[in-house]
Amino acid sequence: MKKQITDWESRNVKSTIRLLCWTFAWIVTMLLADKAELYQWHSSELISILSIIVNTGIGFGMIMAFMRYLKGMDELQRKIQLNSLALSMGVGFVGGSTFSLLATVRLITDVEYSDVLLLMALTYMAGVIIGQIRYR
Amino acid sequence: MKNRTKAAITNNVRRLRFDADEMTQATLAEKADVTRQTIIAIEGGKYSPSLELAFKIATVFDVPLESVFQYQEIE
Repeated sequence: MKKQITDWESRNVKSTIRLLCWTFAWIVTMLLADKAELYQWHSSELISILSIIVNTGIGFGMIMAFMRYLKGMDELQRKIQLNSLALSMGVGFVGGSTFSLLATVRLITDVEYSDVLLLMALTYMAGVIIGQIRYR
Repeated sequence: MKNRTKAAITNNVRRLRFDADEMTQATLAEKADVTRQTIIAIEGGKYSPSLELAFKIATVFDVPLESVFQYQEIE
């Protein structure tokens, strides 16, 4: 008979590891697709399209893993995640439009999409840490 | 003029644990199917649980919901 996992810690560890694996695979395939194009490792358009399809597919896998990760949490942990994601999304919108305006008035030269992503990721992590401290 | 009231949910979880043979937070967490962090936050008044979790906790102690959680309005 399959052993039912009731321990929250082991449940969280398993879903966290699964999510980390998907995230790592997504980042690696994204870097490979990007650098292969940048350093011209190949000249085939088919390989470029395939690498983008693989990366997008793994991206969807990562989203599903994140949803499973959220489902495995209890209500307080979900509240912390919700607050962090809301904060991250808000900062992403406001930060993204601010970057865009700064580029329009030529105070910065270039807006990188990855800068906004990094800002959102850092805000999300800060939100989770603040939430964990707040409800300790 | 409008009277501004502030709502607060208080609880007796700590006392009920003590009365239940000094049940640990970890045991209560396991029985209510939540993390220990959630029990700590509820006891400390930092987090108000959902109705479902409130009923689960009351069931663990075998007492009515009002014996565990109280709703108060403070002016």
